[in-house]
Amino acid sequence: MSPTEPRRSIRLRLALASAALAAALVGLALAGVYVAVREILEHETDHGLQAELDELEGVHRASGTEGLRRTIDQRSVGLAGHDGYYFFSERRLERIAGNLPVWPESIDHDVDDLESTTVTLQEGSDTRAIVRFVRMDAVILDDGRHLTIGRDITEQRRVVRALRFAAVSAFGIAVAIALVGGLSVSRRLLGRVEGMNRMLVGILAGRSREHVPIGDRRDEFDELADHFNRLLDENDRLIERMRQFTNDVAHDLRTPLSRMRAQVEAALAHPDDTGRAQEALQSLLGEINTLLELFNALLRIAQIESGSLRQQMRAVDLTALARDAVELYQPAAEEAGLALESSLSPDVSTVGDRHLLAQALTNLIDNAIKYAGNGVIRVEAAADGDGPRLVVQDAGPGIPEVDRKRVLERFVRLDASRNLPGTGLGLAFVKAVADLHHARLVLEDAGPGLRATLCFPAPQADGRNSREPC
Amino acid sequence: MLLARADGAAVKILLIEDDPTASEYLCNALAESGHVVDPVADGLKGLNRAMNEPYDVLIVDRMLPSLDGLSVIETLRKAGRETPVLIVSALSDVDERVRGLRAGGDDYLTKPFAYSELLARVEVLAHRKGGSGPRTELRVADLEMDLLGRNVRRAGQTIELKPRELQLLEYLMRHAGQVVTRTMLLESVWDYHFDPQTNVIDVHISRLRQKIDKGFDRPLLQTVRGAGYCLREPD
Repeated sequence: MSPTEPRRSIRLRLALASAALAAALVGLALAGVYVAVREILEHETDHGLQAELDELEGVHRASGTEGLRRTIDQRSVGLAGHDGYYFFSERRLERIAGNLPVWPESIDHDVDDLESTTVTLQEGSDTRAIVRFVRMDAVILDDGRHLTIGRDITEQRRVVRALRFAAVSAFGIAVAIALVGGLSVSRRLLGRVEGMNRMLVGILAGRSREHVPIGDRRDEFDELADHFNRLLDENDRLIERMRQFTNDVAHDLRTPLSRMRAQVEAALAHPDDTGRAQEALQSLLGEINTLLELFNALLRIAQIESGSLRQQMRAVDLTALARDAVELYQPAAEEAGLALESSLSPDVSTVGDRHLLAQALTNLIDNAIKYAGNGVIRVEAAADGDGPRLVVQDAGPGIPEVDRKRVLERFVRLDASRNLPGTGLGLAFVKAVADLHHARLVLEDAGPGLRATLCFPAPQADGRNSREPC
Repeated sequence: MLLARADGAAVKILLIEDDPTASEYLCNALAESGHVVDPVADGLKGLNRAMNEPYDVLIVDRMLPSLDGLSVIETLRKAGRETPVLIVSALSDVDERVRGLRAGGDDYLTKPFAYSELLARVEVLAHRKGGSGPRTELRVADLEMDLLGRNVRRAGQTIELKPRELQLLEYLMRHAGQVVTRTMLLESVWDYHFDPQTNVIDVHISRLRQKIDKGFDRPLLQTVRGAGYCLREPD
């Protein structure tokens, strides 16, 4: 989100969404009830009408027009409120019996359009008009006479209408409650998010180094706050490391650069002394090579740490790797008055980058030759339940316990080794390679000497390395 | 001091490099070493010249204007030109090197490099052509290596070598008369694409020298100061 964009809070959206959901659910339920009730009532009425028509037809068949007239007269007594309406007529609709004076044309048969109708009732010569909802059905009898009967459904209609009103009201109330509830819940939740936001704004602006407060509810928000805090700590740590690193680089550059400058100045001060100039150039070349080596090593470590090399990993035979390294270093070690021994179990392997692993191992052997001074250097390749491992052990002075973690950082050189050649990146490189392989680099006291172990993760059943090294 | 060529013949080189300083320096240096260099600063022009003129070796930078180095090499190879190519690049990853060689490059050198390293590789490449089928025997002066039986004799006397020493000697004999650097030996004999801090190669060479030169009047395995080693019959 760009800072210029006005903020669109999700609070209203949340409330509206909850209201819409409530409306949809309640509306659906009520509409279902409404339609069902209406259908049942109408079906009941039609069924009743049909049954009565059948019955009256039977009467007509058994006792003729006169019998039917009597039955109808009995059923349509009086002008007051009736449930049933009857109109029994000749073929040409001349009235024979019933409480309706004329063929009720005005009454619609289609129930959906049924409006309240003015019904004119008749008994004898008296007529009376009432406004009712009526549902009609008719039959043509065997002799061609017509029989039309109706049911008063005014009450039914009232019930349906009341039901509709109740449904609509309930719907409205449900929507209102959902809206209010949604607003208040979202305000409560978002209030905590907003608190966090304000704090982070302060931290981002550099105004505070506080942490996001964590509640005691241990809910998702507390978890979020906890993650934020860890992110902030990690951030601080990285910045600190970066600062330290920049300092170290600057420092490590300044020393050789000052030396180079001194040599150039000295050579310039004696313009006629070509021998001196040659010497200075030779020495400069050496210094430059050392610096280039340093930068290459730095870039290499950075590249390894970026993890981009992980795609190139494949099975690496650690036994062969160790054998080759020992074979390469054996003469150099002997020359330095050291014995380089190896103990290699067969078929030790891991998934990784052969070139990086070889370089890491040779770095460890290099270190052993450089610092051990005398005695035996042992190189081991072995595997057990904890996973494969490579070990380089010397009998030199070792590394004091307090320094063991520190020496893995870039440019850290212990005082004892300051005057030996080297970039101070050897172990940092090994550490970076180990991390890339999810391996651990363990430095231990070999009493006397240093035992450096690369512990690779135990292979999983599917042939890939697990994340947890020995 | 620039290095003089091991055996007189000048190598005709096309240098495709867009950095003017590097290009000028390399031109001067290679000319002083007795070679003929044509510099070109962009990929398309370089491709054009490589297609139309006979060169012994091409030196190709990977990042070039108008057409990148790998495309130049690929196009040349597709057109059937087999001129040996040395790729020079600031991309140092082993994977980049594999890509360069896969594109048709014959050797790969990471910037920054020592001039001696470049020169040695160019000369090795220039003499690589003319492979007259698989050889069964190598010979330098009175030193012989039977490639099938894997045995070495000097002046008729059998010399016992360890497998790695045999490989090392084979490489030196295949490039007899040419300077080979420590890095080249690490790459071809040990398949290590990095330089160990200790000078491990020197010790291997001196042990090999003990075996093949000790007791003979004329040492064959010579150290070329500031560059590497050369196996040749002394003048």
